[in-house]
Amino acid sequence: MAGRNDNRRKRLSACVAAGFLLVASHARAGEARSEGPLAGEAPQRIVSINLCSDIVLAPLAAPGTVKSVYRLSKDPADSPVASLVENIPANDGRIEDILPFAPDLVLAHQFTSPFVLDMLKRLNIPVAQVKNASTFNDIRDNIRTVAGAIGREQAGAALIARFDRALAADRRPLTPDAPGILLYQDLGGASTSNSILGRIMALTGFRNVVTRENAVGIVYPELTEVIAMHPDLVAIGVYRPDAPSLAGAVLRHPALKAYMTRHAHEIRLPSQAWRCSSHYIAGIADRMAAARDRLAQGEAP
Amino acid sequence: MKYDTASRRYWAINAGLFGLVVLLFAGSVLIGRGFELLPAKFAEIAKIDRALAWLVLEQVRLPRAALGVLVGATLGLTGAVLQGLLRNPLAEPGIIGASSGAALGAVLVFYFGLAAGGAMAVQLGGVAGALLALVTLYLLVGRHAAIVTLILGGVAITAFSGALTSLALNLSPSPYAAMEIVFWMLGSLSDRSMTQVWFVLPFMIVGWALVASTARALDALTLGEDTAATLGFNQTSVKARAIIGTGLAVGAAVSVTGVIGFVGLVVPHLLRPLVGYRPGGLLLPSALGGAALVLAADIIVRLPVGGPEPKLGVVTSLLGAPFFLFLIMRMRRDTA
Repeated sequence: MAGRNDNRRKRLSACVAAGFLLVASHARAGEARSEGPLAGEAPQRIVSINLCSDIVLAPLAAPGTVKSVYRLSKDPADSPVASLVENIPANDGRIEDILPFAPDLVLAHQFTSPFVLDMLKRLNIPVAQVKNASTFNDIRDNIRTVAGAIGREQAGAALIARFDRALAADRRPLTPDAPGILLYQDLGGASTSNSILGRIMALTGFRNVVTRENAVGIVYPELTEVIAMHPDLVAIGVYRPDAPSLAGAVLRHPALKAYMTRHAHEIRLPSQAWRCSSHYIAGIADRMAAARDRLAQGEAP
Repeated sequence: MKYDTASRRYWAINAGLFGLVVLLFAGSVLIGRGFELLPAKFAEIAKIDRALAWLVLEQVRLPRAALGVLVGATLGLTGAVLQGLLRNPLAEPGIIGASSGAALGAVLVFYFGLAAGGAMAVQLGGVAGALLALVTLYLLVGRHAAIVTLILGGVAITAFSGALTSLALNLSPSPYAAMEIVFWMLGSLSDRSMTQVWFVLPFMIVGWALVASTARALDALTLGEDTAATLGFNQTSVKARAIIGTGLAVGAAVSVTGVIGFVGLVVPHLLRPLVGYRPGGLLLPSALGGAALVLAADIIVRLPVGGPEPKLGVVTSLLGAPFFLFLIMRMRRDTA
């Protein structure tokens, strides 16, 4: 234990020093890159410190270039890329976790702690940030941002094309008699039409029974309201259904249960597919399009 | 002659408070989120299915109002009892640590798998936590506790069990630990069902009965412990009944609604000038007043629409904390 700590400390101090020494070389590398990306200059020591950047990075990165990912991306309940990153060391997103890897690129999120970002800036370590995605275009932007930063533009373009094909295949007409859907999550949150899940509902030919909208993309209707909105299909996204939590209590309420058995169909959506609203939400679109087709034929979704 | 008028006045006040509780109970059933009234919602749901509309009434609106009454009555009653027993105007289940102890007990049971042991395990955890906090405080500050000692002891226990509750939630496998810390600390009545009402009822009834049985002893206690003893009240038994009763009722309440602060403090103080300075006589009106206050606060939290509902403890603390400050100022003036 002590040995490990010692090693860790040595590595850490060496790397902090290296971090400061790297300043000059990074400044030069930055200049070189600005003249035009060359394959040979693509970052080779990428550290991602946020689940949302991990999810975009994992399928795009060249093998061996990702040195560390955020700890949550290794957990299958949180992350659709858990299997891709299982052999990559985890970090906790703190500056001391980042520097030992001597990164030449750090990937972070729009909402990453400003203190960490500021420190990285002072160390002249290049940072690329993904943004909070609430439209399909935001998802494409995030792929472009990451692909551009790691010098894999072609892989990025291919991923976007795959994503677009998947969405096109899931498009269903939004007819006037379209079934009403409620996407209901833990804590009694329902997705609004301006959220990414709301856009998937519209894409796959469902009418979202939630008409209110807000910036967060989620509203909290009372149980009474949920029933009064009369959804034909309740899509339930439960995060870690087996963990003890009050969050799932509302989904087990007797009144909601009675409504569901008598008046609505239920499908379960794998919530890790919409973590961070990445291209993996195409999986949700597939599931909902299939449910829409089965409902149209009068079958259980 | 004089006694008769006083007695008539006492029962008139109780009847008035009871009327208020009935009114607020009806309001709680009738008023929904954003002040939307029940009949409209009922008709809307009845168009889908009439039986379902009844179910909503029975399983969503009624339990919420019923829990408001039960929890409010518990807090008001135990606040009055603790103030009488400890002869201390600042005693209250929230301030002296019983509520936060109950939250800790409930959290430990709920998040660490013991809930599998039985449907009422969480309530039992809450009761155990509340009792542990009360007994600890009693042993800590002793019988003849000065106001300051008691409050300091209570603050220490509240802070300690609050910290342990947060720690337990942080270490628990719950994915929403941070949000659930807020629930356990600030309380809420939303979206409970009749199941919860049936779970807490037995604990509360026994707790209320134990606590109410001390009423006459509390009156005697105002004359001092020795006088009370010569009047035939067994000190140990009185204290045990008050503490165990409080633990049972508050523990059960907190285990389904989280900690709702200040109700037990404010209500007895508001009512004392009305019903006279007799601790035993204060119990019934305090229970009714507590129920009315919690019901009213629970109607206020429904006002905002859009985001998640504000927690009930936010409203009771907004009302209670300034009152607490007012009490402190008055005490300073009195002692000056």
